[in-house]
Amino acid sequence: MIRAWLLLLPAVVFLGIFFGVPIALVAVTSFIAKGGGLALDQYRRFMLDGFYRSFLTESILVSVVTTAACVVLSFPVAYQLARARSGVRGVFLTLLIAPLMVGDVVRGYGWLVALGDFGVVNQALMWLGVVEKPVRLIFTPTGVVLGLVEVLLPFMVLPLAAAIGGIPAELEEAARSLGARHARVFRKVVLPLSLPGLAAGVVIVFALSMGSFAIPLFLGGVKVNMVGPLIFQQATLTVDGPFAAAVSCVLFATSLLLLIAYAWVGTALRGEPGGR
Amino acid sequence: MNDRSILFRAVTVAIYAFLLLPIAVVVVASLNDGATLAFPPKRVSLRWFGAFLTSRQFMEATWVSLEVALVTAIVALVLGTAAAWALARRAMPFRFIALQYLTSPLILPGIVIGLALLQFAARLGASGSLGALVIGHTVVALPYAVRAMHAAFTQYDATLDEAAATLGARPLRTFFRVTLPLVKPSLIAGGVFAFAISFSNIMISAFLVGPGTTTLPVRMYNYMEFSNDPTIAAIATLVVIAMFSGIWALHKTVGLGGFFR
Repeated sequence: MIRAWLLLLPAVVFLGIFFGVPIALVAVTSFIAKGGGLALDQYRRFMLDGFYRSFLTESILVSVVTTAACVVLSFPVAYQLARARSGVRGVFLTLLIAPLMVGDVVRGYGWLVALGDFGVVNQALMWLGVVEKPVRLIFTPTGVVLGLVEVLLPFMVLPLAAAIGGIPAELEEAARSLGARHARVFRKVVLPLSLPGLAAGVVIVFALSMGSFAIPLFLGGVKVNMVGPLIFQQATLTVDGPFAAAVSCVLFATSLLLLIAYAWVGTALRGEPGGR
Repeated sequence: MNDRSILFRAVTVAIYAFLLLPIAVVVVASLNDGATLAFPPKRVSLRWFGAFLTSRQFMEATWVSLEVALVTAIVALVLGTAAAWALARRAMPFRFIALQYLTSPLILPGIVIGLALLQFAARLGASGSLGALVIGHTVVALPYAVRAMHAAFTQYDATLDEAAATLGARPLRTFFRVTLPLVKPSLIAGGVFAFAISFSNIMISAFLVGPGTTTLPVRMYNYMEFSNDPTIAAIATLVVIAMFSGIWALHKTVGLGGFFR
């Protein structure tokens, strides 16, 4: 159908010009050597200089912990969402989705206030007797992980809830009527059947965490080194275009691989390419 | 209700409390009377909302954000609806790859998109323009429009179009008089999401704003760097109220089912 192609074209061309071409130019810029010509200088600097490499290793570390925390926290939320009556589900969906729309600046600011030395979190910890005096949370990896888990949890919950929603409730009842306890039903029925949704969530959360910007900028400051703020700082303050481009290419390539993995998981989940 | 389900509910509620903690903190902090962020506030006042509404810089930034978000939502909806219709209603090669491509800015790092557009705009001499902002925001908002519309068109009953065609309506007329009115809920949802994604964006904007085109989130961040009075909390509270009302209205009218698949 020639007409259908014509309708698809504007969006495809738009992204091509304003997404594909600029990214390709970044890739070219990243290979520009100091004295002109092409070289791998920028990549060498990023990978071999211990200071810059720490941005990559800390990003990976923070993202692994964030993703793991999201996996654990997402199951109760996703299960409740999947098995709720549709009216109740709408309320909880609102509570999950509205914060996404509020944006990272507002939530990063909220965490900054909450995690301060005399913020609610420290006040609660002292009131509970967990700590005697305020613990430092801002500008620590712990603070960044807390913020990232909060911001990214919905991206884990939504695909997982969709997967759990696809498991017939009768299956769980059957397992229970045959004498399986809750933990066993979860381990033998719910967990295996929701793995595709979980895998999709893991890929999204890890990719978004690796590329995060506002949360590490607000909550990590100069104490937690992550790739996102490094790119911004190199591009706008240090004005080192080629180096910012090289760091960007490493991050982009990582995310692209994750995206391909995600598409593959999605295909496996639906059983046919392209889904419905 | 047994002990186990009480425990399950308690855990779920605790996780939601964690999810909403920074937002709740912002709202409470905005009611501070003093110039520093005391928590909880010693005296309640709305003076920082007044400070926001009478600040020329913040008002300018708010208008820039509203303008950019509105144009972004329209452009993303037009591009996204056309593409989603073609992908959902017509068999064509590379359909799966085309859909992945159009929604890829959801996962690919926004910070890299921002940098790429900064360097691209600089080459074209368009740095700091409203157009550059709208284009950057449309790249990241487009996936939301495509996904909302693709879901709507795949569930759409094609026999309705055939009926219109049988009665003599041309394809274009059928699309605007039959198809579009029937997918209006998704059109609204996609538009609201695209608007919100643009309005609260910081990653792309941080690279693309210039004098006179500073968006609200960027202005807020710049302000935070030298002052910690509760003006930011007041603005944040208004954003929270707007977004929660918007999403709640969507839930009440067209439903949020698109997110639950």
